[in-house]
Amino acid sequence: MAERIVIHPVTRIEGHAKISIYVDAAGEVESAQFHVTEFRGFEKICEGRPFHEMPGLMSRVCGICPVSHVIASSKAGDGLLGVDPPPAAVLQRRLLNYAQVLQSHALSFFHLSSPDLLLGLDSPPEKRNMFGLVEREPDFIRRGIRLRQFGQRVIELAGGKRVHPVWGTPGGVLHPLTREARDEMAGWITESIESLQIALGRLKSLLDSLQEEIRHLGNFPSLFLGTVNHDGGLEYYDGLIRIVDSEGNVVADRLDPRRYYTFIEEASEEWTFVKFAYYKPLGYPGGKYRVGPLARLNVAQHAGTPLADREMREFKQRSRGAVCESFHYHLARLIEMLHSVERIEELLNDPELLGEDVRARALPNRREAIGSCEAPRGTLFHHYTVDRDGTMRKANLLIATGQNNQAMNMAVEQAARRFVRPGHLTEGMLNRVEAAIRCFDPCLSCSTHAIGRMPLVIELRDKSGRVLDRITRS
Amino acid sequence: MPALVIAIGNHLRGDDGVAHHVADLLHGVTPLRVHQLTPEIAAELQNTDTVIFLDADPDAEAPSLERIEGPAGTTGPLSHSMTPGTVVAIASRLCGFHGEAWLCRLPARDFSASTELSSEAVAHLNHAAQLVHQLLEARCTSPR
Repeated sequence: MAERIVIHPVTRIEGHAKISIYVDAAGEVESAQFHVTEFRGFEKICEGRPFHEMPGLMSRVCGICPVSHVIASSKAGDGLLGVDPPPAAVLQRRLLNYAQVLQSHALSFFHLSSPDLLLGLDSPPEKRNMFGLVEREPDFIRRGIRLRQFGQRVIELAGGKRVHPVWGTPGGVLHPLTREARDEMAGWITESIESLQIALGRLKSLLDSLQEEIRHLGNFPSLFLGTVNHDGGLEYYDGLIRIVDSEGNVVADRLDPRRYYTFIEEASEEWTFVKFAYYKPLGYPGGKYRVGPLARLNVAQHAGTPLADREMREFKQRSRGAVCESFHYHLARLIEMLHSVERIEELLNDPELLGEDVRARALPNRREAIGSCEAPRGTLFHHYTVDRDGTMRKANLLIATGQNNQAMNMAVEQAARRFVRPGHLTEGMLNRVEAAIRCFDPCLSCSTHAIGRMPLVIELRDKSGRVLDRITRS
Repeated sequence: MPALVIAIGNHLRGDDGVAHHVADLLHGVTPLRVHQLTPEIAAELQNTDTVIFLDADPDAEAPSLERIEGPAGTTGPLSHSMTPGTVVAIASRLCGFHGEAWLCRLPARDFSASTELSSEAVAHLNHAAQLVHQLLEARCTSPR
């Protein structure tokens, strides 16, 4: 008799989701699905609005990575105007995107995943959280809090608000950066680099004891997609798309992100609100690919900053081809944070950053444009179509979590097959399935007001819906 | 040492943003305005001796101030949606905060999408600001 185990909600992720694990008549895990249960409809909300409003509206898509949406939206706006933003505006956008990567990755690594990594996946769930870390690892978690504070502070100083900044605009940004703000940002650099080097050392020291999880929480071949700069290095603001396979071979290179629709297609499934992106030439589901920190480090040849380059060389030695273990998203995340701080320091030392001219102005000159950037979780595309007056007719947002959707479902299934014993459910089994999802750090919504109070219920049911076993976590 | 006022809430959801309206009425203080409490806010309590959280409360009949005492519980399964008590506990443990923490509960009734407050929330704004000023004066600290 087939059975279904439901994990609802998935905890320590950004948004609302559940996991179904299907068990066959022999009591073995047959398959698993990661369902995103919220629906936000932002693409529809855009229709009928003036395109100039889009960066402000898009800032509300997400409370964790609003800057990335503002940047992709502003770049689409640049395209509609047919202008190049002034250099100071580009530098500000780059600065805030790095700050975004830093604060978002800090949340994912230190606040959401470190309880598993430092306290243990089988540690008591009531202790396996940030407070457990406060008790057991106070210096480690304090450094994580400070790193996120730094990223948020950069966004606040330049964008006016730490969450949902209204700062980017078609043609540039709204305000020049002040010298005082720049100097305050610079004061954080030394401590941040020290904290990240400590965190990297700590994570690497733990990897030997996590070999089971590394092997079975989303370890499979797939394509990897990310943006690289002109010499194949890490790039987050402007560049070309590269796709590599699990052997590290370049499958496609120098793809123009403004023509993403020629190589990426999206499929839908009736059991989730997130679409499934795939590499068009290989079809669905064969064209599955991963984006985000792991993918970016797999597609790029180097970081371009000294400390991150050293870490990246070591990272690439973990595999002869691409690094396929999704668990290493955590390590990749820390390397990207180090790279971001190094890049922030470079940008703060660039005199053009304080330039007064931050906005190019024009009337709309095009009916269709696409803006893209590397968001913390992967490549982000905003595709806008407007009418003659600049009123939005259509918007398509291709987000990183959708591009990782196939991989996340495979990771959940792999973890369930390896760790879940349907006849005797334990919380630790459940947590490993959730941990597979946390590797990807999916971002499902910007509103997390209520979920912290929702109970976690795992139920084992038979085909008729009868509850066979149940675990509740509040 | 300075005092810190933290206004919590979403000003696009009616009375949920009432704390920001109270913050607008405060003199000589630059409140920290947030949608919700997150862990890094604990670091803001460093170098303060008084922190006052302003927050909407659908059960409050009138503005009130209550002391946040002792360590709070855990953060639960998620770690990025917190209470004033958990923020204070983290600040005490990690950021050297040893001062007094207070929660100002603000009457709130209507949380629908709006930038306007309900008449009931508006009626208590001045009283709430007065309570905060009185507390700051009693603590004899310089506002931040």
